[in-house]
Amino acid sequence: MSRINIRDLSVEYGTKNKSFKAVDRVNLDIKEGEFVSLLGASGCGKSTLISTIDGLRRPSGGTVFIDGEPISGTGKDRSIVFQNYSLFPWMTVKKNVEFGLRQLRPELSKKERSDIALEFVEKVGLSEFKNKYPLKLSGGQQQRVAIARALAVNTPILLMDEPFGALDTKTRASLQDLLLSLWRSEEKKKTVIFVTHDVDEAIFLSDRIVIMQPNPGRIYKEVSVPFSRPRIRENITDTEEYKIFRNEIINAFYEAEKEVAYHDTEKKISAGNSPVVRSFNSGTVSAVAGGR
Amino acid sequence: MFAVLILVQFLPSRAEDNEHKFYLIAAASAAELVFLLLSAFSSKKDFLRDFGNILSVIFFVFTAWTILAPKTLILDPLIFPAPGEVLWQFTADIDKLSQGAASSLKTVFSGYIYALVLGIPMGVILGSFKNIRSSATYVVNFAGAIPPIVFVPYSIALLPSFDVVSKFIIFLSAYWPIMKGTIAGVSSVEKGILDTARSLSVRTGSLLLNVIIPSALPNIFAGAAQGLGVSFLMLTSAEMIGGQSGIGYYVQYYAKFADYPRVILGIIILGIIICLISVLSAGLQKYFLRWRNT
Ligand SMILES: Nc1ncnc2c1ncn2[C@@H]1O[C@H](COP(=O)(O)OP(=O)(O)OP(=O)(O)O)[C@@H](O)[C@H]1O
Ligand SMILES: [Mg+2]
Repeated sequence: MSRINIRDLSVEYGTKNKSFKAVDRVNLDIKEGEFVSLLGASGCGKSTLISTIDGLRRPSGGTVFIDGEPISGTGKDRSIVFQNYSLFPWMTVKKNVEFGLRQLRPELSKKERSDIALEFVEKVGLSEFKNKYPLKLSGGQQQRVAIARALAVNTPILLMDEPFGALDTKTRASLQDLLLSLWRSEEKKKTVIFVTHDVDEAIFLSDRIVIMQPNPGRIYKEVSVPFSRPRIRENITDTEEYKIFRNEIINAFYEAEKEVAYHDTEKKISAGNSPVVRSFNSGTVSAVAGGR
Repeated sequence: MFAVLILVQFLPSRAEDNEHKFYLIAAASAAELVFLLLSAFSSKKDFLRDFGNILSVIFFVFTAWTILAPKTLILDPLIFPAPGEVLWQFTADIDKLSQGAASSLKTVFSGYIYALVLGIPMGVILGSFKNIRSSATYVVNFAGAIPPIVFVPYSIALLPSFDVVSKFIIFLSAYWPIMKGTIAGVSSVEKGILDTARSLSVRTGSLLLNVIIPSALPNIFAGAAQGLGVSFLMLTSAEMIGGQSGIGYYVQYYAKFADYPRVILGIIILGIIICLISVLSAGLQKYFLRWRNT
């Protein structure tokens, strides 16, 4: 029901005198029920790509097809979760979930809406906070609400832009587990696109990892994740296979970086210091250092 | 504090007219009694503490006043009459005062309501459309910078009565802060929140009602509170310049006859009214912005 086909997709940011190409001729096919991660350093166009898929941004070229139909703006078949939660702070936890339902599933009665909202608030473990306002909750709790809202509307496609980027390691791991178990428990699995720059997160969650590179944002490489589901964190990460695979991904990062760095040295002479390359470097180094 | 106040009343006085001090004693006793009853039966600790504090401050002021004016004559008793005198005047003038207060409130709110009713929608429009906003900025900044009181002569020439002039000036002075607050709130809705709303395909009407206005509410409240403050300022000025009614007029009128108990009484009543309104508006704000993290 929800294949995504991206064809020659380019997205530009126009300033008055010049335009900047954030995504350049991206081609990507995602199967129904597939969990795909977009992995890449800061500035390589992940957010731009995912918000274009959601319909929040108009491409400057190319098309996003969903089930063969080109999209024209946002739609009831997609929901999105952002890094900074983006809850409506003036609505309680339950109201936030209900508001999403009211928009995307207007056919529901008030009672049904309330029941579904409560069901999902419970699923993310926040029943006792259902009448609290988001700003009184921790970051992890707020992100649970955002996940509840995105899942409750039951769109076949779920888009997530670094949803766990602002959380500490432990909360992050528990929300990854929560997301996977909710995703797997559905009879009709959602198609998920998940943006991250954390290698381990990408491996643990996805069926396939799409590695992107910046300047302009392109797909560098696509890699299928060889681990079977259900995945149990400790069981996977301790294996030799995992270490080898993880290295493969990190190497792909390096190769992408080399190409960019080469690409960029020419520019650097004329354009001066490039913050994109610097953050790319430090990001990669810390990813390696964070491993064993 | 209560005991001190009562004691002070019985000190030998150097002024003649202290026959009204029993009004003060009665009022203070009544207040103290209410407080004691409340402490005995109510369990709202915060409220009791605040109430007790306010009462102590009032008693302290009256004590100081009693000592300075009628007892020792450090202050001229003609200009600073005994507190009992003022209280007596209150009981005598209660009709006049409540009429004055009603008239003042009516004037201030009829101006203020128009400012809300026009200022908020205008602010929403200017806040939502960047094009209109950027071309209107200079007009808004220029017109908003002019102190509304300078329009009084013009308004008197153009408008049918001084009452209408007062309302218009109040409207004008509250309008700008309200509109500016609304613009600031509406134009600064967080991008993630707007994107989320767009992603949920929220329609324009619902977007305005459920997303943009609630998000702008803190700024709207700030503008409205500022507007209310200026409104009272303008109200009193207008009443004292050329009004025929209201508390400001009462003060101005009796000042001409050097009737200082009434002047002080008017000032106190005005203060109380403004305090009550601020408490009310702070309460409304606290309720409507209860979702904020403060
Ligand atoms: N609103 C904008 N106007 C102009 N340029 C933008 C805008 N948003 C992003 N860009 C540029 O587009 C490029 C891609 O940005 P994008 O946010 O998609 O990157 P990202 O991969 O999501 O990065 P991060 O990991 O830091 O979130 C960056 O170089 C950025 O500077
Ligand atoms: Mg991003």
